[in-house]
Amino acid sequence: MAVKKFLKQVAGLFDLRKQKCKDKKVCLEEAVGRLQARQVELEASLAEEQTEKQRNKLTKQLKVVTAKRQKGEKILQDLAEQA
Amino acid sequence: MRKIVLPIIFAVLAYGFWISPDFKQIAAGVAIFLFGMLFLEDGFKAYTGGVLEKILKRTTDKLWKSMTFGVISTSIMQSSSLVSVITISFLSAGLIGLTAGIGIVFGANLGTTTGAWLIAGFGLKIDIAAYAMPMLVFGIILAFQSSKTAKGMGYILAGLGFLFLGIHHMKEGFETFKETIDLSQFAVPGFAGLLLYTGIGIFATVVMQSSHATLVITITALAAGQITYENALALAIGANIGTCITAILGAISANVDGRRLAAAHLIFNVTTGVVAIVLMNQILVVVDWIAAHIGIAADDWTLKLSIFHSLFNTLGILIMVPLMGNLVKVLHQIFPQPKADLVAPLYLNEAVTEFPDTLVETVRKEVLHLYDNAFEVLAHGLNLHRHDIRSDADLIELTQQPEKLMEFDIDDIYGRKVKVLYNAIVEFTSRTQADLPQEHMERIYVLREAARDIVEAIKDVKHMRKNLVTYIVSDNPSIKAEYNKIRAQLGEILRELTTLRDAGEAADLVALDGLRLQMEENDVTLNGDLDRLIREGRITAPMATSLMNDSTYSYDVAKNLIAAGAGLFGPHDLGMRQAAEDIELDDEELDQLVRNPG
Repeated sequence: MAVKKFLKQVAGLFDLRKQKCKDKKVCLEEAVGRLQARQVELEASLAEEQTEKQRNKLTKQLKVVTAKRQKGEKILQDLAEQA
Repeated sequence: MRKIVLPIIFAVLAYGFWISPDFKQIAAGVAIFLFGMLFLEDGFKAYTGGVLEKILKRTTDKLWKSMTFGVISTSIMQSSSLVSVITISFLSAGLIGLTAGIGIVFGANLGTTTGAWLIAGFGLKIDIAAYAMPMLVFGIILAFQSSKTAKGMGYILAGLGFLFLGIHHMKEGFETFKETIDLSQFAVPGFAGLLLYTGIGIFATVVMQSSHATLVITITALAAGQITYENALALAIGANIGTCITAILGAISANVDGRRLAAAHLIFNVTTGVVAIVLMNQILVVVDWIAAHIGIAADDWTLKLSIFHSLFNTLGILIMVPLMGNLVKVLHQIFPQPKADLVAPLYLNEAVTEFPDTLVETVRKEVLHLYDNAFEVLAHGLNLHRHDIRSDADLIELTQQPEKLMEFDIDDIYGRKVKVLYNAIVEFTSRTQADLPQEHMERIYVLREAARDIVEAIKDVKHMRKNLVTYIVSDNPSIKAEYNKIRAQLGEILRELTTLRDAGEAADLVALDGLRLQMEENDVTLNGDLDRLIREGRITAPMATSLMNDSTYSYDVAKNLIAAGAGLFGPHDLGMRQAAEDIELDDEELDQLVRNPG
């Protein structure tokens, strides 16, 4: 079992799908995707949070994450129009 | 020493060339072989790059994994020296532990025995020059390509070609040398011969810095009948001991862990050698038994030498593995950890400069070291205790409690614990980044910027401190409250950075985004509060101007610390980092968010 796991890890190092993104569009899409996921998480956390201090903190994070996601989507849109 | 030894070696060689063209051929064969080893090492260094380092990082959590890595990597690269150097480099950078490093060295010793098998089983039995020529041609053509992958492959191919060519010339040389002089008449039998030829093996390996070269000479001489089987076995033992000189040389520029590993290497190889000498007769019985069972002829001395070489190294591992714990303890006693000198770099060292990924990781760790020292300066500069920042205590409530001013010479502490480290980081990165691939240069640049941001933050805290220590104990509650707010706000940022630092690879930078927005909101709020406080006469004009200046410093401290956090804990990948920068909100966009809360 341990040997299988080890071999999988070694194979993963050569997995082209996991290679670093070199294309700007691909990197941006990945970044925007992560922000979307983060936004959903923050919204869920905010809905559950009771303490005011934590709610303020989460609200600020959510604002910035949303703004960055929107900025990222605009850049992707511009790239698509240029292409 | 080099001034004496080198001319002597040259003189001996020149005399040998003059009296014997066959000796010339053998020596040239050795030189070509060694040249091939250099090419091979360069090829693997360029070709594997970060992959080797990534594999090393993931395969060293268990001893058997480290040993397996040592065996496989050395078998493929045919160089235990390269594997040792990589291991020492990783150990010096704090990326693997000592036990893992020792495991790799043990495995490398076993992996290197595949060389003898390749030479005895393949190299001597075929027309090896026929394979060498095309490998050289294709290899050199590839080596001239611009692509890093092609170049690396070219070096490997050409390296193998030179290796084969070297073996061919040594083989030919010894065959014809036999007609002139029969070296086997100088064979020394018995225990004296064992010790003498072990010593010759050690000497030859130290001079050539390659146990493979010594083994090739031994095997080709043995195949030509120029040395006896018994003396060849002794040479193999000597080669095994002499090979740790490379590790020792590599450890000179390493830190205490690197030296411990070199010592472990020496202890292992000497122990293995002694065991082989003491149990020679018993091992030879086992060699003969194995040879008989795997179809090796009783008089195939070269293959039996290969069995012997693998067997005594395996025996060494079987003896040393159960003693690993004791070995590590002894090494820690012989090389105790130097008292943590906070002013000296902990990770920067010359052993890491050959491997780009390791170099970047080393610089990152050193900048984190700088941050750890800076954390003390920043916290105390704000008259906050580090344990309070690290705790969950409400910093606003904490700062409202009666203050006791910390006795703290910020200039002295900055000079001793921060500036020295920063200087070292700048010097090291300037010197080493010139030959790095672009991606690694960019990463080093980002880390250096993070170090600069940390230092700038300290300088701004230094500026603020004079007024801060005056007003946090002031009788004026309004000015006291404003300065305490600044302390709490900056304390929150330090707290968040500490969380990111502790999270390591799992660091989530979203918290820094929130702090950026908070920082902008604080700035707007403070300006409004300042106007009100002045209008209502709750603070004097000098207090107001001090607060205005210090709020600017405070803003800059926050900005620099957040930027340092992004640099230190942000994406390592160049593409993702660029994407993060593209979508980062600029000051205007952030300002919009502050002014439009909806």
